Amino acid sequence: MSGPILEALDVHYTYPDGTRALRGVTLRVPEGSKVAVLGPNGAGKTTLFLHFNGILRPRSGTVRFAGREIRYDRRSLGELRRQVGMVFQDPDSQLFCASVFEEVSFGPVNLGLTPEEVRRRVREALRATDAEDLADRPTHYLSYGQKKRVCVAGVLAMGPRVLICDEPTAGLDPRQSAGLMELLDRIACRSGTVLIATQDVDLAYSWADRVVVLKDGQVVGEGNPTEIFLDEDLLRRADLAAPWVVAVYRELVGRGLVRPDAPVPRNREQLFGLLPAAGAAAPRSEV
Amino acid sequence: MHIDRYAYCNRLRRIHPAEKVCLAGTALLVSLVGAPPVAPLLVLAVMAGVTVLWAGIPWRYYLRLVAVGSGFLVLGLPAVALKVGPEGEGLLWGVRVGALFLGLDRAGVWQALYLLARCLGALSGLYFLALTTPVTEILHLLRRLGLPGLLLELMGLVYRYLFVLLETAGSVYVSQTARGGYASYGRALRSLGLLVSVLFVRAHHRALMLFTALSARGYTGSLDVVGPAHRPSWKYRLAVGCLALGLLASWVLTGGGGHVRAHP
Repeated sequence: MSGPILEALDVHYTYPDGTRALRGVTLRVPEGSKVAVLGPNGAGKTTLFLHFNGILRPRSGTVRFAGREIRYDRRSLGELRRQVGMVFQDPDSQLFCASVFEEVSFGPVNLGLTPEEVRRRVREALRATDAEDLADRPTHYLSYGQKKRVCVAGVLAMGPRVLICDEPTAGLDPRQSAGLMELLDRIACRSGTVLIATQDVDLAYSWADRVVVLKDGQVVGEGNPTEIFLDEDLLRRADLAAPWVVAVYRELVGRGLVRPDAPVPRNREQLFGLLPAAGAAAPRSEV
Repeated sequence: MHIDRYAYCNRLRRIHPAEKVCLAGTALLVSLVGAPPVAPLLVLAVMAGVTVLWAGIPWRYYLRLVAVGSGFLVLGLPAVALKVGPEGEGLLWGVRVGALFLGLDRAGVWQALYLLARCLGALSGLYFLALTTPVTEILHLLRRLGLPGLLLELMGLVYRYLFVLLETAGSVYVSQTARGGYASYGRALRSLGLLVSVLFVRAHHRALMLFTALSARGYTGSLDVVGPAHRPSWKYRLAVGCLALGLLASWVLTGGGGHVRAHP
């Protein structure tokens, strides 16, 4: 990790209908990190993301990309959108083209690349998202999960430095969710920073290496996942439940089954690793 | 909607769209100018064969499509075949309506049958194209032929969002039905009205979302895309060429323009 690639400094935004969506958001996204922005519906997650892509312009405050303040002239925006890719929540409002191949080609074409280079990038992006076999299929016969993959491919094909996903697992079944998060992991490993919005505390806890909690248009907590989710006071203020791994860990520590100085487990395997062996614990019925 | 599905998964999908358009165009041409009824019926037979046997469209479905097309044609035929005149001579069948005769004569019947043959032939060419070539590839071809980009973008968007609209309408309809929205005639009318207005609002909302999403990928006013490269296949090219030549030959062999025989 190095310096912040994206920064919001005291950003305020009010929608034309008077909704105050952001009220002084200050946030730093370190380059190469996996950030989860948590918060209930209406907390301002999507609004914040639209600022990072230059779609929305703050009423006051500034947004910075790679240390430079975002400028809103046509050329600067074009450059920003090449580097900061955004995947929207509803795939049907992102996929405008009936052909998957052409859909993915839209971004690269806008970069002014030659048709051969565009085709190469489309194939590469489809391969990276395990969507190669969808290339010839019409968009309207894809399943919801497949549409999501094509959306990600459409953004990846532009070669962004930061990938922003709004509620990537909403509407997906558990297996598709796991697959998509694994995909985002691979992208994060290879090309850098991934930012997601989610309401799923378990997902945020196990996947992210940095968590931002938004509530009513303000950042109420920011830090690494264990810091955030062990802070009961913060969770209560933000109406969030503790991830089940953390809840079970707490309970085990409370009952003296796990030593209080044991490292906080990040996932199921680490949690199971903390459990005492059969002989040390309460006698089991089958003995 | 089945037509659209078959267009994406038939055995001729890999053939270059331009070749398919050429074949369909030849079929259309021969049907329209070839001597009826032989040339158009030959076209019908050849194109039906190509569509069912080569492209692998189920023949039951194909027959149903042809039946739908013929249905419309048959409705129009009486207007061509029936004759109104002051004399009842020479009619195969006729009735007297006041001072006039309404009836069928030999020339009229033949003309109607020729017309039917021509239309069926042309229809078979059109069905071939519709069942084997996805809309996206046809749009792509039209772009290469130099049609205005704006028109093609609109066609593409309409095509894509037709399916989204149908899906939305379907889910609203189901949720209305589940709450008794179509229980009586009066309620059905009300519910349908609500459904249409909801669709307008949703379509508008979706348009705004789409604009945002497109902007995020660098949209600046034109929806340019690049399609996959088609590898030319000489095998297919040869087959399509032979078929087109065969059709053209049938036109020449049946005596070229058939208008003389159509109006004896």
